[in-house]
Amino acid sequence: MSSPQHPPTQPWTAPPPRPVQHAARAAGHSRGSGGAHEHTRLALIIALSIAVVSVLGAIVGWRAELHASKASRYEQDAVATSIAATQVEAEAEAAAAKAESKYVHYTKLQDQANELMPGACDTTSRSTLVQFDAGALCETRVQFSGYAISAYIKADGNFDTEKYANDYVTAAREGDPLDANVFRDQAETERHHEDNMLYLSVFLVLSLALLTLARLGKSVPSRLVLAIPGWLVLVGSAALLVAGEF
Amino acid sequence: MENPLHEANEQIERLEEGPESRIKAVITVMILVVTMLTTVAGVLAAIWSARQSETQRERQEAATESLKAGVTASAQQQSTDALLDDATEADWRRMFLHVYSVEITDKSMAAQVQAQSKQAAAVKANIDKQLPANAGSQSYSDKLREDALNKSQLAAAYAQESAGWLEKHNGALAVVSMLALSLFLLGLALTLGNRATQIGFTVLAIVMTLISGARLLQVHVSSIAAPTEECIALDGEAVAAVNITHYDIGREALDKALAQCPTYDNGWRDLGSTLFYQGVVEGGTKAKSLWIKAEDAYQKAVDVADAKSGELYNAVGFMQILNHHYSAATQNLTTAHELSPDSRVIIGSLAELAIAQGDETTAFAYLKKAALSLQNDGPYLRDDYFFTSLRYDRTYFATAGITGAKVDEFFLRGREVEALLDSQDTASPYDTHGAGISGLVFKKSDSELGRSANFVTIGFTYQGLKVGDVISLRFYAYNDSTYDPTASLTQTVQTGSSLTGSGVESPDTDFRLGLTYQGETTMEVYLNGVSQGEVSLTI
Repeated sequence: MSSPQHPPTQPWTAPPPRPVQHAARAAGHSRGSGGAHEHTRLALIIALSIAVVSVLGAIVGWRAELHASKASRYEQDAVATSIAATQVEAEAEAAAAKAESKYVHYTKLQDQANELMPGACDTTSRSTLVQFDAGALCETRVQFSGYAISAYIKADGNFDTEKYANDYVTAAREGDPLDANVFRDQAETERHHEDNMLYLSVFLVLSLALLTLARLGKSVPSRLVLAIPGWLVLVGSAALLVAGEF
Repeated sequence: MENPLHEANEQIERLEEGPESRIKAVITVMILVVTMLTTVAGVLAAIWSARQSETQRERQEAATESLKAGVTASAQQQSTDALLDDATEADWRRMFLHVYSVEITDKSMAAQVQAQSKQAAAVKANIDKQLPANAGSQSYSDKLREDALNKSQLAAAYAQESAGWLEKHNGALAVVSMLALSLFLLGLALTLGNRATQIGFTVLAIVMTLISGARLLQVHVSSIAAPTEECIALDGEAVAAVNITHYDIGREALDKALAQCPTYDNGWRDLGSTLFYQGVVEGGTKAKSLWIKAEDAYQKAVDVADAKSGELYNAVGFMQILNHHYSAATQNLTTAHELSPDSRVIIGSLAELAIAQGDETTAFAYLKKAALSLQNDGPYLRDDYFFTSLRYDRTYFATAGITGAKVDEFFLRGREVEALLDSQDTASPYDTHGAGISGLVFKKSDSELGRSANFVTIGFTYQGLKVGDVISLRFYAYNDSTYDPTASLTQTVQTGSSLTGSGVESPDTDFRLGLTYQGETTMEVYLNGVSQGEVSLTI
């Protein structure tokens, strides 16, 4: 069972409220007004520095987001370009195969004519069925001569489909940008900027920690020990931000 | 006597009503608001991240399907092309054997050759049965590629959408980091004794929270500029319609697509092309009004395009040349050249812009630059692409009213460069040392074979030709723009050749040519890269 409540023997009076904001000043007065003033000014500077770090942090976050977004945009452009480039490469292969087919017909007809009659395509004198057949093959061969261009014939006499396809792709590139590497490079640059912003944010957090701890310090020297490196990091970060971004 | 408890209570109430307590209440409320906002931003970031993953997956699927469709189309195209070549071979063999059978006086031999000819005809008929309808036409190829093209555009659209979701996700994360700073300031303010600093931190935190909230709202409501599947399908329909010259149907489909997807850059670009080619077909004053609209469409494509390429600026710049908007064209083509400095097409456009303004020196300088860079490229790029474009442009210039001696001289120089590059791999004309070719004849062959095969024959008169001189006979169809590689030929005068010195090459002697294209074909004759004239024939 708990003890019953008894009225206090003396009427209790609360002490008058002491204005909190003047407590430091009052304490300072007891130690000397110069030191107190310095202490207060330092606290204010540190508080302002914390505010500056916070604003810088927000700016760095915004810049990092901007770079990340641009990087992802470029990366997607690179993907889209790669897809388009692959399509064009498929078309180029088909076009090269078409050209090769004509060249193959050209050489095949000549070979067949020569099998029927050696040197069939260099003569116009024909009297046997075989010679007429060979002549028809030679004349037909001319119709497939459009792709018998030395630029596309390899040393072994075969059609250079790779070169033809490359020319096709180069031509397509003239009309439409198909180089995904351009976008990849741009994305890389943006990612680099984004990384810089992320590193900068780490420094700003360090500055924030140092300044906050300095704010909690009891004496001017103890505050300065933490505040000075905090300010150095802050100034360095601000300089890097300005140099890198603006 | 006053109740001490009552007095204490009043004291507490007074304290709670004091400014210090009020600021603490504000800070507490702010902490609550910031925490809630952070949670919302975090949740949204997670949702947007999930959407991003989803669209990435859809993009991968569409890309794979596009590749599959592309490979299938290529395989089909290749087998059709091979069959077409076989059919062509059988047909020509039939025709040549038939001509021989007519020319032979020995009746028995003629009958045997004719039988061979019939066999070739049977082979062709057999192949024709295997060929799909319209196998040799451009519309057949376009139709084959349509699915692959649509899927590739869809994949690109998903990639765009994915980037949009990622941007939103990044935006939400940036808001979270700002709110974290705001929360820190509020927490610090709670622990501070100095009222001014406390208020300062609180105000800064409130400002940062407001900015964060506004930014989160902005990110949330911002739309993702990616075309929908329906817009892409409409664009595909439009392209298919335009390929078979149904421009109005194409425009209708594109208008629908762009009404639904106003930021669809490919759609705007295709609308620009549709209006441009419709203008080419219509000609006259109608062309001018269509080309003004085409310029607007291309400009819109530039405005909405995420990746602004030099080629896109070139498209709008070229339209501006045709519309006589030279100042705007200069600006756009300069940007195009900066973005794609190696593009010969853009260099060509700069040359055309200069000649349209009467600046021959600049025009020729640009033309030379393009020609020199083409020296290392294969004939496909030169004949089927660059010079074909230049030849088409000559017609467009005429429609646009950009004419005159300087313009003619410019396009003639372009043609000479083309002939030179093909025949001698050089961009500068050789000396003709007073030699020349005249009296050009280009007509249907009058021989038995020529008549049967629908061959053409040529003739000319030559003066002062020397060993080493190069004669280029180049044939072009479709309004002097499309090169015919089968009919064209280059001949270098050899020692002991009948072409040395002066003389006449009569029709139906050495040259019997089969033209690739129906309709009008123009024969251009060059001697050492210098034009000797041209003559046209319609078959």
